Amino acid sequence: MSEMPEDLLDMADDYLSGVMDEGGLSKLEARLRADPEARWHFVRYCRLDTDLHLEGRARKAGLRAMKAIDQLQQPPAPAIQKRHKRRGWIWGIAAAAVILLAIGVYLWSLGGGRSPLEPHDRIAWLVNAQDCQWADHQAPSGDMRAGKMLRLRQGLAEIRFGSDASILLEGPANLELLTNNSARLLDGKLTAKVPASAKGFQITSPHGKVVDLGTEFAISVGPDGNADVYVFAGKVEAYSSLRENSKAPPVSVGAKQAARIEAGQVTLIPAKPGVDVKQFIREIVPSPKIVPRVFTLDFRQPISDTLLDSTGLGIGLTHRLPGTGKKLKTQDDNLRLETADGRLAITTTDSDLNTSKLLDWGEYLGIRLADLGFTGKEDFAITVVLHNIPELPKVGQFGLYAGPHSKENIRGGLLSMGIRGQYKQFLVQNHKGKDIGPHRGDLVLAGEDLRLTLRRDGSDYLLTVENITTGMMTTISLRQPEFLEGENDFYVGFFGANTQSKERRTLLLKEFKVTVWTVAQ
Amino acid sequence: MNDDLDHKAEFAECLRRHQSQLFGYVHSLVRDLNDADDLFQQTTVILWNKFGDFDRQRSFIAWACGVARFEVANFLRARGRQRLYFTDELNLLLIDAHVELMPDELDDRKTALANCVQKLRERDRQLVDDCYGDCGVNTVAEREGRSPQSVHNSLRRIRRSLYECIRRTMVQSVHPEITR
Repeated sequence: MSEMPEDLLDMADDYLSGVMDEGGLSKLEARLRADPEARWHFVRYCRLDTDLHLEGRARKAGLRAMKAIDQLQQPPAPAIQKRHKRRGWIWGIAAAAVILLAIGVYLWSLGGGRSPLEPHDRIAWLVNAQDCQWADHQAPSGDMRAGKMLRLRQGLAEIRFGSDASILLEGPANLELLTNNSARLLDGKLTAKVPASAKGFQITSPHGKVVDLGTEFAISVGPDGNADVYVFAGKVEAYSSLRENSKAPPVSVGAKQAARIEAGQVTLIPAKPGVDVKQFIREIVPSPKIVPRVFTLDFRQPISDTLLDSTGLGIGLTHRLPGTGKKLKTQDDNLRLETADGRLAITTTDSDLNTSKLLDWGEYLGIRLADLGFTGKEDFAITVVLHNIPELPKVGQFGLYAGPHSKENIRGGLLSMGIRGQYKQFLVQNHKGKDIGPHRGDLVLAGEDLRLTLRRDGSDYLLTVENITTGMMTTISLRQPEFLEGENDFYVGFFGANTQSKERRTLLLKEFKVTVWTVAQ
Repeated sequence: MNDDLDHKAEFAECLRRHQSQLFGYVHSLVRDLNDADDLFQQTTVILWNKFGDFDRQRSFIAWACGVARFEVANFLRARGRQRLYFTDELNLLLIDAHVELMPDELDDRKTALANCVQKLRERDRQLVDDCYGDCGVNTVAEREGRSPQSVHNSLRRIRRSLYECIRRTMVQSVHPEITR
């Protein structure tokens, strides 16, 4: 079925938005009565609206349910440090009390009054944080009172208690503040530093607790509720919840020792200082300062000392991917800088990085990343905008590349398929001149405008195709292959090739931008 | 007794298979989810009461849509919105078109929609979430200091790109890619 005609879309939108008048409805009626294809589209377009509504309702119901669950799990603040068995209705009342309290706080804040949380109710402070993401965007503020639940999705949060003990919570983790010298770790990891003045600092875990005797230790609670404790310096006492009740002595854990707290028992486990020390983060180290270095071209003027177009104008790009374009003329017949329109026209040639076919005539144009401070480790991105993409015959391709030369690189973009005018998004690694495992994405049609971005993010390469015509965006990714590890002389740029065909086409490049995120010394 | 059970099971199975189509048809006429819910339920009760007379040679969904059509017409008339309702002739043609939109295609379109929504720009996705879920167009417009018309216009643009994205996904699954 072909695309839905514009006039029908207009009418269907009016109909669905409820802004259609009688005249509009008669027109729509006439159109639908006359044309089965219009009816075909109309019912599907209405269906899209229905599905969006249903999805919205499901999402809303899901959110409501999660909220209710959260509220049920809220402990009724300070007085529940002991693990009594409670009946459901007591919990219900307690939860209701918390909800009422929360509503009270909210209404109070609306009224512009002073918060009912007096300073002396606060038992802890958030003193440092790095890359924190809190559940529901609820970062703790001045509300760190007994019973407060901290749900850290990711990042590091340093919390100081009223007693002067401090912990470094590593997300994902859920921690409940109990008193000014204790907290409950439901899951996740933390390290604690406890000065002598805060001796007796406690971290409770699902099956027991650790009581500190003035030291530095770490605790990690797994999904099964079992807790592993490691002591960096000093000494702690580890209790299982049952053992505490039966008044059995706690297990003493000394420096560089480890213990596991499970249901009903605490056992010393072999400590692996190297491993244990490594798996816990003991302090927040400021992130290195990242400075982006950017290279942009808008093709509005010739730039000297760069690659030349057919008339001798400098196009702004400085390098070709090593191993390509050797036999092209210095004034390249395939390039035309159109400054009035702010674009570079590149006519494709029959070349292919896969199998290294006719690469001496291949158009793989760009820059050398070292010129932007790249030393092999930095993240980078290259973005181009293309207008009105032409129809290349089958296996014709264009897009972006990154790598040290034509036989070791990553490239991605659009690949022409069997059906004329249709392209498929692809991303591929090329090793020793051969393509390995192409990743494929969405369909794009000739005539559309695109923004392509190839980005290295740590050890991932991501190709994003933003279809400016339709507003859609798709990203496909692959891990950095081993053969690029340690490579530090990268070239990045744009390519276009009418691979396996003699039909050459011209690509219109509107913008070209490269960013390297360098680390400030 | 067993006959009753069989009868009920047969009805339940017919309904299960076609409820999404039937709901879509009703919603396309009333364009309000709560109204569609009510009418869908109302229609289902009538279908059950008349199921004994239902000719098993006929298409269940065509029959169900036919029943729903009267319920919707009555409902809109009661609301004074009769003038914004298609004629019977067109309604019968539209029922045919809805009947052709088979459950399998509905499922495929829904899956495609989920993927297409993920591809929207963050801002657009948020607008869809807000307008179709939490708040509705007027609330969103008020919150963002925009006119409802402007929010409707954004939704139009987004709905169109989603529709086109779904169309492409469906084309793609019909014409599997040609690899090198």
